[in-house]
Amino acid sequence: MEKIRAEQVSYTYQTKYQKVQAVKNATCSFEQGKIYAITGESGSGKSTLLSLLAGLDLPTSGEIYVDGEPMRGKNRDIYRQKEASVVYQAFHLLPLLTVAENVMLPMEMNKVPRTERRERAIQLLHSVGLSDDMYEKFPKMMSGGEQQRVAIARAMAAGGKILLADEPTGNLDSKNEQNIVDILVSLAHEKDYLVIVVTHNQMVAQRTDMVYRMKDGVLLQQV
Amino acid sequence: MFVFLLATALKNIRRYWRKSVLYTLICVIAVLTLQIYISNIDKTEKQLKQLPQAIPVSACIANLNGEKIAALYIPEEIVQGLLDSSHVEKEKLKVLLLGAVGDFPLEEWKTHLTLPVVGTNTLASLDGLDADTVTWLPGYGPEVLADAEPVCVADTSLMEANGWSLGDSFPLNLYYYRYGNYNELFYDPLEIVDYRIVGQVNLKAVAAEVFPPEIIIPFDAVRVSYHRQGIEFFADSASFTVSDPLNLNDFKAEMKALGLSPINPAAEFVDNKGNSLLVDDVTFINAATRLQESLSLLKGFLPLLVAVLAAIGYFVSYLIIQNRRDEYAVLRLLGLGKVKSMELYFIEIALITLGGSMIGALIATSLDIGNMMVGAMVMGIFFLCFTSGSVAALWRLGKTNVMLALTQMD
Repeated sequence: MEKIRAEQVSYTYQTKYQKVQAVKNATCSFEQGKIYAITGESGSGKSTLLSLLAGLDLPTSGEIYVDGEPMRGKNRDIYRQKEASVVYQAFHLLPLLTVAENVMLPMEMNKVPRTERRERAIQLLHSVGLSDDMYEKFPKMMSGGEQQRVAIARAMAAGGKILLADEPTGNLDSKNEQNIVDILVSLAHEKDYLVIVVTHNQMVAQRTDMVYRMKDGVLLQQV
Repeated sequence: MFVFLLATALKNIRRYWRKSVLYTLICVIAVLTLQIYISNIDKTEKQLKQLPQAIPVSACIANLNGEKIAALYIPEEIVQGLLDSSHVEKEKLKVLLLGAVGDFPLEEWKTHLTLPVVGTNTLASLDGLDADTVTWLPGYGPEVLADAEPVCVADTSLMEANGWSLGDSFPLNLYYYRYGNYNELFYDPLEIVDYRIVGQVNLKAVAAEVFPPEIIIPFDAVRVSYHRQGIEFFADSASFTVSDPLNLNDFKAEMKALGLSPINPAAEFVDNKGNSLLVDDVTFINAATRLQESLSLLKGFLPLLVAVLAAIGYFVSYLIIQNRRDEYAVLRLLGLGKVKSMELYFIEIALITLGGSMIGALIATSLDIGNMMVGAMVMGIFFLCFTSGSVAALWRLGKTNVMLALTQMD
């Protein structure tokens, strides 16, 4: 079932010195329950495309549809609050919040009752392989792999079924990289998430259901 | 959502406690500074308001060159104008008369017409007379002089000489003086009226008076006698206090309308007409001018101070928020809207600003710098200035491109 569709999406942004067309007429679609990879060299526009799919900005031209509804007509903040989540290479955990507080933050925004929040947070952290003694730790006390798991748990906390990951294993060693990819694949195949991973790592791409390749802002499809 | 924002803001204040303490200290210092400044303005305004009590402005009627302030010819219109004026208070009016006890043959005037009589509205018009030394008939007091009842205060020795006691009445034969065409002095009969003695004092001891009176009667009682006899009334001297020296121009304009011109010390021809005004206002004007200049300066700088506070609010908020740009990007990533994100930071800044300004106001009040009202006003001004600066800083934050910010953080 098609969940997200991008049609002739282009994105141009202005830096201090020049105008950059990061994405050129990209057309692609993504189904629920599958894991996709978008690969390409640095600067190919893959992270930009991912950000557009996350609703962080609108395409300069073209349209992105989520469940058939155009992104332009959606409240993109609510979309990221309830439907889609993003994890990044740098984890982006709030440093002054504990692990449990980081995971509970999306639930607080969604007005999940206080009594339920902690229980659900613990479940999510268990599901990504973290033990109870991690909950009151701060992010800087944890390894990269552990931080990324917390980020994934936080992404799941909102309850949405779309997970976008931008180089999620970029800062990890091979063992942690494997573990994270296992989690992402499991989310797609076992928990019916739509997972889209931006990566330049072929090993990661090989574990996905479909690979899109980007070159100079142009999206190409590979099986 | 507001509960979430408030709870998160409070948690952030606790999490970033060093910055929160620093920001609070800045608020306390700023509020103290502002309170001192505004208290200065308040004090100066109060000083200006109380200046008339501290430096009363007195005035009196004089002749044209200001050399004579007594034995004048002050027409009744001017006297009445002074009494009716809202710019005049504590009037001291006098009319000098000569008196005798009962009627007498005109050719014996030198023998009988020997009593100096003063008609006045207040004992204060008699320099050197201590009003507390007057013995009054029960039921009477110095206020009788403000009425027109034919009562009098008599000199003790006069009473002894005539065998009078308090409460006795006697026929007072009054003569008024007038000036002839060549300034010669004449005395003409006014009226014989029975006056009751209601007060007794040693008037001869009133050394400040050139011709101390032996009988004091109410000023308006004399006016009544003049009116009854169809004679044009005039007063001998009039002095008073300006009720609102801060409106001296209005007072002088009214006096001019009454027919009183400023004295002209260079005037060559001098007569006895009481048609000029001598105002002792130099000290008051100098003091008031200094205070008004201070006040203008203080008030003039106030907008600048307010702008400086707003700028400080902007820069302090900007520095605080700038360091949390990453946090802002993450919150936006998690779906907290742009407006809600800025509300979160605004609530945090507002809470610290409110707390800091309250502490500053309390410290100022405990150090007796201004009062509660000034403190409340200062808090309000400061809160508005600082938060308006913060709003400007937040507006800048809101222009952050979240997508680029998150990518750069990678």
